[in-house]
Amino acid sequence: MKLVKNGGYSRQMLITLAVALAFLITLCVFVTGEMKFDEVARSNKGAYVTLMVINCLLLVGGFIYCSLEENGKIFSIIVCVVILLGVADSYLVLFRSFTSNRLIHYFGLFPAMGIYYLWRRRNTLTQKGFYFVMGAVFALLGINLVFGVDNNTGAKLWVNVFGITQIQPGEFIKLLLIILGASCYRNVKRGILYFVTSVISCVVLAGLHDLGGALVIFCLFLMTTYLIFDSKLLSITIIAISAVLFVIAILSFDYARMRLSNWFGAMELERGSQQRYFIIGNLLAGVRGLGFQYHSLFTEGFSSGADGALAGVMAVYGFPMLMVVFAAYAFLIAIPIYNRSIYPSSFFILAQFSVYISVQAILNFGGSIDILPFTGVVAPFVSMGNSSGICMWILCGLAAAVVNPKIPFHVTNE
Amino acid sequence: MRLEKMKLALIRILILVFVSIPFLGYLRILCSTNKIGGIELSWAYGAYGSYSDREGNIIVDHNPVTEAEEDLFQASGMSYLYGNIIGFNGVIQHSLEEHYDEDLSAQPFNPFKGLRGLDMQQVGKNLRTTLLPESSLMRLEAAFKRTDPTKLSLVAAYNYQTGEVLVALSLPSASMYDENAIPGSYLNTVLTGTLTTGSTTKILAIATALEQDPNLVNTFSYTCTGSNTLADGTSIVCPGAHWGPLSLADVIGVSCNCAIAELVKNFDMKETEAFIRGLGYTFNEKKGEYQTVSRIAKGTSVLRFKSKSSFDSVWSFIGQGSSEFNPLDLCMLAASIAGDGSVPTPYLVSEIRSRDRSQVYFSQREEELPQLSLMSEETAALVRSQWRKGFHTYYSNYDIHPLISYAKTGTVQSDNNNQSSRALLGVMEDCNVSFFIFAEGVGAGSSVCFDVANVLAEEIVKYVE
Repeated sequence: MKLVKNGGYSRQMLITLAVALAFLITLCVFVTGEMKFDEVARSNKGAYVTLMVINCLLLVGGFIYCSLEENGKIFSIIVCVVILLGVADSYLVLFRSFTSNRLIHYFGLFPAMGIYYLWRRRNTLTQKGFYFVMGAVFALLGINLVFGVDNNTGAKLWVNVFGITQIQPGEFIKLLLIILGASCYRNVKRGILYFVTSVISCVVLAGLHDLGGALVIFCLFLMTTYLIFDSKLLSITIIAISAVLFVIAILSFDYARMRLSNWFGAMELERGSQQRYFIIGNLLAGVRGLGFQYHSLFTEGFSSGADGALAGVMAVYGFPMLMVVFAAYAFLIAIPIYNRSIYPSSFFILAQFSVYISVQAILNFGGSIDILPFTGVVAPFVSMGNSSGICMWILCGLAAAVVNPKIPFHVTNE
Repeated sequence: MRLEKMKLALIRILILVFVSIPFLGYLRILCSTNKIGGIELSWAYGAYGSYSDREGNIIVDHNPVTEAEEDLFQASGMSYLYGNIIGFNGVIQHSLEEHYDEDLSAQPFNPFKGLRGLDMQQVGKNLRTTLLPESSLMRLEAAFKRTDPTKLSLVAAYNYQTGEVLVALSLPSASMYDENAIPGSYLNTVLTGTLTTGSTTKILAIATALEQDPNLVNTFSYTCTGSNTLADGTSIVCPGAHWGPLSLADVIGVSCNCAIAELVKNFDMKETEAFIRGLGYTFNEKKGEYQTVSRIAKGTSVLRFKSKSSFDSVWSFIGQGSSEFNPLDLCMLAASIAGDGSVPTPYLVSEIRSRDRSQVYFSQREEELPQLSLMSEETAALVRSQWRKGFHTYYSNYDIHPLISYAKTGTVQSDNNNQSSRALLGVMEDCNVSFFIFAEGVGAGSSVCFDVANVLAEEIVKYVE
């Protein structure tokens, strides 16, 4: 095993590892200092330490593997994910006590490794695989339609699984659509099927009041359609039709109108508006953050761990930490893309990967502090939520697979 | 190279978005600074800060460093005697907490520190009230000897030299949100309520009469036969008594209904309206002036007087009709009589300081209070002389503290005499204090108001110069 090479990315990887470990240790030291003020944090200390040890092991394990593979791009993905997880673990476990949720979240690593192993060797779906995935999308839509429950959120996003747990089919639908889209390179027939599947998914999810999910699928669909058909006219037409349909939906459906009417009006809403809590919390915090001491503001709403996670992180840790989180998102997306040696078809995965992460992060943060309409979309890796967490892990596995393919690749001059 | 161009474009867009979104978000938050009020702070975090009595004893203190419970007032142990004045948990709209939480909790917005200072020990200021200490309020409560906690027991005391409200005790009261709270316990009747006050209202009648005709002091003479017939055929009676020849002072002393009726019969309607409205009361449908006591909306007294020949109207001036009065208004009326006809605006908050007391944010002493001119100096002097004379002549049998210069009792009649309520309006000239005491359902013959007044005098002399 060669940990240090002359030049190359092993030394860079070592430095990156050191920086990432230093960040995690600093975070641990900071929260330890804050714990003395907070009973909730102290009671979750054991779980937090466990999770941070897992994060460190992920870093070190990732470093060893990537050194062997001589692939720094994967290591960059791992570092970004671990930084996001480190911040999320301290916020969600110490501040919000979502301990079991975070522990389950890490099981997503296993399907991620599985998809990494498989996709490295295939890079696309077979014809049967394509139809299977498409069928799975419709099956999940059907399950959501029939068995969906709304958990007092107004949107039927959840399905009970044998009474043991709940999953969000919408999250898996997004993942499957990304895989479908990635398999449409230079295949118009598949492109049309993908087009139809995406439109139906978008409409059904919107009908179930999962407006955030529908919006994410729409953005993915827009990006992928452009890549598949390579037509600006088509993209503009889709946008125009969507705008008209959106206006019709606003005029026809009270729910849509209500969601839009609250935009930029969070501070005028009655007490109980969660956006109001997040804005007040951040006003109280200033740039430096509140620390762990102000539970009453955030424990009013379940959503401070999900829909308002980024706003909550900013309020607790301050504005610089939010910049760290967004920088991690930016690097998570940009480093794999900034890669000369990938299949053009792999770019489909990475483009959708980037759209998925950026749209979700922006909608989550923007919606929670009322610069965008509130859609209830979760922030990748930072929000609680087992379904979204597992899907994010799988997506990262896919992204890692395309930047480290097993089969020979060709650089195109397209 | 098209793919390369797309990649670069995507990266540039993403970087632009990810850099700008956090700043846009923070800008949005900064735009909300003018919309966040103390009510948000107090509801989200509790009104951090402390309230103390006039001596500086802490009534309740919410220090965010030491406070363990989220329900701050529940953990505070604040005496319920102050509950419906200070307020708690945002439950009582007319309370000091609701109106001063921002003064105590809020800090100037600093983009780095936010709305809270770096040093948590400095969060929250101290508000010193004008109220007597808890020990005094406990003695006053004990003096009522209440057997039924749901009955109303009030003590209002007002310093008419300074404007301080020394006591605004309104029982039942409460100090924390309780679903089983006694009905009415969240309302401080002294500050925000009104009630029928019995014969204490006759002082108002005398003042109204003398304002219109000062010569009445010399010319008025009435022989009470036990009944006085009005123009509408109804009669005002003195139950169980006919007092014989009476002067104005005698009228006050014996509380003769018939004599008051005789005075009211001769009222000029317009002058009466002008006088009553000059006191700040509502006269019939014409609303009285909106007043506050340290930002808390004060209850507005209402006098219904449609016609001097109708039973209901005359009965209003006798204190048994549909008219209702705010206890603090009556204190101010008595105070104006004791003084020169004008009184300072009453207030509850004397100062607001930083937690370490090094910085003064507000001091009532440094702000001039408007004087309220309620009646002419001449009228005040005339009423005072008659009242004092009547008190000394007819109240000598009561056990009364020597500090009480003069007082007027009242009974709010009930069908069952044993359920009648008693009231007492009085003045302690040596302390410049006027007071009003009310005890519901104690019975027509009860002297409990005097017991309470005596305790009040003992307590006031400890703390008022």
